[in-house]
Amino acid sequence: MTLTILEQVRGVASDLFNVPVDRIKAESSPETIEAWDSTQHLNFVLALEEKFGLQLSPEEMEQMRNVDEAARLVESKLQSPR
Amino acid sequence: MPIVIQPYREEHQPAVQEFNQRLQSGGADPDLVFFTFAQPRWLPHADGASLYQEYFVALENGTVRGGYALKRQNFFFADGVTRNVAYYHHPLSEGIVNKSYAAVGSMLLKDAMSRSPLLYCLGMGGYDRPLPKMLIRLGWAHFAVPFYFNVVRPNRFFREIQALRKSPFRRLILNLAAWTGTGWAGVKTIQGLRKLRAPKVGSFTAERVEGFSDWVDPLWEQAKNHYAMTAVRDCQTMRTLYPASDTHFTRLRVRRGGQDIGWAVVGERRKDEKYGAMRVGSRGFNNAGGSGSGSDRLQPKPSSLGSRS
Repeated sequence: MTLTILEQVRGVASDLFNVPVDRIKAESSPETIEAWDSTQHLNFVLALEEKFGLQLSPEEMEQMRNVDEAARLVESKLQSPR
Repeated sequence: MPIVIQPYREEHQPAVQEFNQRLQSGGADPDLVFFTFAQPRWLPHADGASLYQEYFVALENGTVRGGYALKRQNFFFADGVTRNVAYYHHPLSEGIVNKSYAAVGSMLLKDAMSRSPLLYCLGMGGYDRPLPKMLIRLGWAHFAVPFYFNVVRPNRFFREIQALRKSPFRRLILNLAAWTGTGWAGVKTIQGLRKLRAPKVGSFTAERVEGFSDWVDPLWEQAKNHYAMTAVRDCQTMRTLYPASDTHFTRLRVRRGGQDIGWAVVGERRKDEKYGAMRVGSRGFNNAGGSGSGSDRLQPKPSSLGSRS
């Protein structure tokens, strides 16, 4: 079974923020995840870049205000021609 | 509304003041405030200048959510090439008090790296702070640079060193050290022993000068090749950094046997958060090399350093 982008992003967030994956929801954000601070946000960006082979600009980094937005961003980057 | 990072202009000043107020009312340290004026008071940009400061703000629909500063200056490298390098400083993010803006800190850093791939940071307060953690995560080379302290007036040092006087207990101990003279005795003993072990320095004279002039350039030419990488400290740069009109600095010309061997600048601070009302010195160039001081310093990887040459 192939994991969706959202499920993969939830997995990255779970590993990074040390929160069980079933507690990482699409709407999970810095407000709801204690460990999601400025340093961990950068780590989240770098982890997604590494996992999906992407480069995210500063503006795109800011768009990732929750897990769902991060997944949508990754999805759109994967679909856009490089 | 997306956040965009732009050069700080005069029209942003009211929004910066509101940003500072939000940080303070959110419980941020009192010293965590961004520059009130868009035009840097020290080292403003001038046409053709290589040594200047510039400020940037992160804007969300006209509201400031963060900011940072770059101090650009020329550095001389061991390969004989002079490159302009920026010092990334005063990064501030609304994420300090509002986790909705947790992304802003890394945005600021990535923006600075895109504007100036040759970057360094120093004086970040130790490896446990957020900025060094981010820089290490981004693969920057890093190393600790210990402060070299030489206390000239121990009693004043114990009364003024705010960085050590953080709690009532510590203040009591340091006050006792100052009042009883035990601090004076301890400092003089330790520094005396250190001096005994240090390489012997011949006699020299230190003459107070009004400003830096042509005698600085031969010193710079002699000293620069002792360094893998060093900020340019020729006469023109010294005049820009420490203009004769700035009375907060004491400039010393150091000579031996009638020959220049170095310079020093003593900066006088008032109500500094770390040093209180002490006078703090910075060592200059000499024939043996060695200059300046700092705390934790980070630099890009050597490969990054060479990427724009």
